Amino acid sequence: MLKMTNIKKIFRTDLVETHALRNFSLEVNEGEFVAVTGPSGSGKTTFLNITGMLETFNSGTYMLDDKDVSQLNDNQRSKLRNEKIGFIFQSFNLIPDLNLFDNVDVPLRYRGFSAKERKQRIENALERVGLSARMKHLPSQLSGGQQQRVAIARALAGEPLFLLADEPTGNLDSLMARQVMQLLEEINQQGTTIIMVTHDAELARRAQRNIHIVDGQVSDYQQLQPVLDAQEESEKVAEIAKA
Amino acid sequence: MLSYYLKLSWLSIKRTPILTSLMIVAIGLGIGVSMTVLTVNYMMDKDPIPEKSHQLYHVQLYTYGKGHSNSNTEDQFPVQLTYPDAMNIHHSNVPLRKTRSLSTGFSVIPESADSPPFIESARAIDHQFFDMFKVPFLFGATWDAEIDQSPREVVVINTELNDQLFNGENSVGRTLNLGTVSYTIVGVISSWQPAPKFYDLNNGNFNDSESIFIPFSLLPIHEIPSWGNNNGWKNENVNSYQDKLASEIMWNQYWVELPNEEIKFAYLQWIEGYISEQQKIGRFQHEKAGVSLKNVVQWMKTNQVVPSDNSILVGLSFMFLAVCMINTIGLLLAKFLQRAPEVGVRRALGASRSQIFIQHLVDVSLIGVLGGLLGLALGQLGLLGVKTLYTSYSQLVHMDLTLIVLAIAIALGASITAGMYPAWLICRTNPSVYLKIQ
Amino acid sequence: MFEIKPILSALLRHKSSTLLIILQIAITFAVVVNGTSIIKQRMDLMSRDTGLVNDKLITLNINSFGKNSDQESNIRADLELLRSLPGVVDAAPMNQIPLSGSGDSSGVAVSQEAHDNQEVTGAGMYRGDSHMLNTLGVKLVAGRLFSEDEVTYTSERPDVKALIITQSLADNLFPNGDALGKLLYFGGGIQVPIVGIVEHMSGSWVSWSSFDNNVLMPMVQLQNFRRYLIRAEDKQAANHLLGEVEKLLIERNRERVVTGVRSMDELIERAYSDDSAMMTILWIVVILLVLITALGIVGIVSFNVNQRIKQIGTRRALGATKADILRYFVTENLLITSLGLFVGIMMTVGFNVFLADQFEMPEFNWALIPIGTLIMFVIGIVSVWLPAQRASKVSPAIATQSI
Repeated sequence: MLKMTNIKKIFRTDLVETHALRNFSLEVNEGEFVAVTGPSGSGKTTFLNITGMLETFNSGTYMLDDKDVSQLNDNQRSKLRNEKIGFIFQSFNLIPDLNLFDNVDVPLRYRGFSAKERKQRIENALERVGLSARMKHLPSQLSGGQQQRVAIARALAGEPLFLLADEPTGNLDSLMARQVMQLLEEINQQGTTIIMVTHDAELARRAQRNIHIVDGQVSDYQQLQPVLDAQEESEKVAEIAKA
Repeated sequence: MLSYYLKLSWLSIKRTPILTSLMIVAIGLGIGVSMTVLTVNYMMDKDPIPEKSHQLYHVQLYTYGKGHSNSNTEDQFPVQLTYPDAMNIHHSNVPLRKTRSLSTGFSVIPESADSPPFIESARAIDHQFFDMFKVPFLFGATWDAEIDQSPREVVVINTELNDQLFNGENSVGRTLNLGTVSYTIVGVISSWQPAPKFYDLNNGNFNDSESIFIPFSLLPIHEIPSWGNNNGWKNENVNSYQDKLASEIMWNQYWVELPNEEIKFAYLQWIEGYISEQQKIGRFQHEKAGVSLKNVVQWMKTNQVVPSDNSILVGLSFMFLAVCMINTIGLLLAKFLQRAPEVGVRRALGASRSQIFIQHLVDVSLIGVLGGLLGLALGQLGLLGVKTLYTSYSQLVHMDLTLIVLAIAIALGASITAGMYPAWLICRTNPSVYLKIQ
Repeated sequence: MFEIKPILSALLRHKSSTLLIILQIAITFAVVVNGTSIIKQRMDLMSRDTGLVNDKLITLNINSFGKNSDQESNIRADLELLRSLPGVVDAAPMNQIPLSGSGDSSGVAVSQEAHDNQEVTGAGMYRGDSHMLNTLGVKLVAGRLFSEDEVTYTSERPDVKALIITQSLADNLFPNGDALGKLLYFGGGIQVPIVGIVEHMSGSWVSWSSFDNNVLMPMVQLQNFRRYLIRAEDKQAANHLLGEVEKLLIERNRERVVTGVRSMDELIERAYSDDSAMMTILWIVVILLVLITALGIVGIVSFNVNQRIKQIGTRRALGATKADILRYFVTENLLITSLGLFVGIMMTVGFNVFLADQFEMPEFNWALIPIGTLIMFVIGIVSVWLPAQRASKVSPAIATQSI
């Protein structure tokens, strides 16, 4: 589903060259819940940005859903991102002037769905995170945990191939963090692949697989649980969408 | 998608009301100032009779003697004709229509003794004048063709004078006293106010049209005075009106209607024939002796209907607009950069660069249209100001549909141009920078 | 204590917004200076001395239509009436009135031969009776006035025996200063001696190159149309006459229409109406433009301050005083303004060369460049002050907060 081989990313300024990722390789399969950890400056964020196609890389190959990302132009990458990836951020990144409905609507607008389908999807997504009653509220009227749930609904509404979560509980107190984590696990069990970047070892332990990045390379590659049968997984996703 | 972008633009305007108002004011002022100036220019330069402007010709003859010249016009042709020339070329039957023309005026003496006499400007012309210049009649019609040869005291007045003297009733057949002479009214014309007053650009380009029209053939009989220019070059003893009629003084105007190039060519030949005939009796002795036919558009250009002050103002107003636009670019940069985090989110959620670019251009266009509307309002205010400043232009300063559309188009075009760079900049920024911490 | 180097490097990092302000200041400067230059030219034009007693003069037109068998006695009776009115100093019949925009002109020469060779100078021809000079209020600097018996009343080509000309025309025709007593040639064998010279008298057309070249003749034309000029004791008396004179003249003889009763001040206003309108428009353009530019600077500096709040806080935390911060922004603005003005001066010169080329403009007033520079600096400092003040109030505590 996602396969990175020998990715290299170098940041250049006039004076210094920083190797953010060097010979980075990783494969993620459908249905997995992968936690990516590492000290700050290790290249976690660069990994996340490259995975989300927000940044390009210098060499190596990145295959996403059988497409070679380095061969795509901005329009194609944006389309792919829009259809295949759901983003969740540490600071939620809800758009402050849009109400919950309109926030969830953002990726669907770029997808080009009809008004009717968008409405259906938004309502389903908000229902899934338990916030359908507050559709007309502005983000500022919600607690942090609720805001993150909206962000998750926004990421899910387009039925992406996987969720890309960047410290999803970093800005939350422990109770809310636990709730959000539970929600993510639930979503994963219902079949959506999740890649989560975190520095919280405890949180990472709850994922099926942990990847540790140090100095732009995977330092430790371990599998905690066998991967579910991919075929079975996709059927489940289809069922959820119908519901 | 457009409606979505418009909705987002509206939200963004609501979020940055001060910055947005500054931009709208900047664009509005730029458009307001340049539209005011452009309107005056456009109206002055406008073809006053588009259907016929290329068929109506003003006739000029180079009648100077040897060694004399005229530095007032570019081609040195005198602006007006002598009376003998106006009379002689009137014999040509080549033109479809033709008229002699002289600016004059009278004391109008009302019938009732209570109303005091008053002065009105008038024009001495031939019967085809009204047809040539498409002057509409309210009552009656022009006088008979034969009156141009055998004069009688007939007159056409305009509706304003008719209102004043006859309460707007059909006054055809009634009497009008001009000085000591009584004239019979044969027609009343509707309001007719060409701007510029193309048929006589010697006496104020934007003066009012005359209210009284009498046959040119009456000139020698009632010694109709000239209210326009009288230019002489020759030393002649001009002691009486009859002397003036026979002199080389240039004080008459002449217009012909030549519907096509063939007729124009034939007419030029006729006139050249006339000139060589005159040369035999000692006139037209200058080496440049000849004829110049200028159509309405050329005649307006020759007479510099648009003053040079206006060209300076057009230049300045476009520089003004440029400053307003540069200002707007600066403000847009500020506004868009403030929004960079949101753009980052949108990019992460799948918006492509071109979608972000278009969204921001829509944003700018909305501001542009609002600025354009403000500019139109300011432009109207500006025109009101121009009317009070230049009383003689008052009738021609108004915006027509073309100008209104032009104003919005300039506002839109200018603001989109201004928005290009900021929009390009914002759609190129790396979204990941704004996603980590907001 | 100006820290130019860090400012420069900061400016280089914000290339586009710096460039925009520079461009804006440059164009504004060019427009303001050229606009003011035109305004100044028009002002000079309008404040030219007319040589007349402007505020005491009123003029009117007479259009008679009756049987004018005896126009001469009619004119004499009119003038007798006018001169006898209380508050009137003098009155004269004239064929044209200075600054009225209509009248007669002719080419004059210093010899018959010169006239035949077209070596003529254009001059306004003012005809009136012996009261004409006193009524106009022009100052005789040489020679004598017209005597009563020199004045001819005629409808035909007159036999003029004496002329008074303006100093300007005298200097034009006789550069050696010996005009008095010389003959002036009008062509066709007409030659008339110059008996007097007046210091100055404006002509009828304000934009005519021979505006100051005028000839006065002792002659009254007998026509249906004529003009009278009346000199009152003072402005008040003139204003009073404006309302009265038409009625009095019509009462004396009803077979005519009186039009164009105007004060000389009004004639002057009308003569320069296009110039004063141009001045008004230019003032508006200049003021609006300065305002827009000032607002633009306020907007962009405010934005810069907002962007650099954290940096400002850090500087404060590291010991910069409020005055240091204020000085930073003001210096930055002075730097930008200077660059803008440099470009602006270039543009102004270029623009002016173009304008002068296209529209035959009078010489550009170079003194406006330093004045304009000063004004632009003041505008720059005034508009940077408010946002800079705000920047200086940023709390040093911001440095330690994460926003």
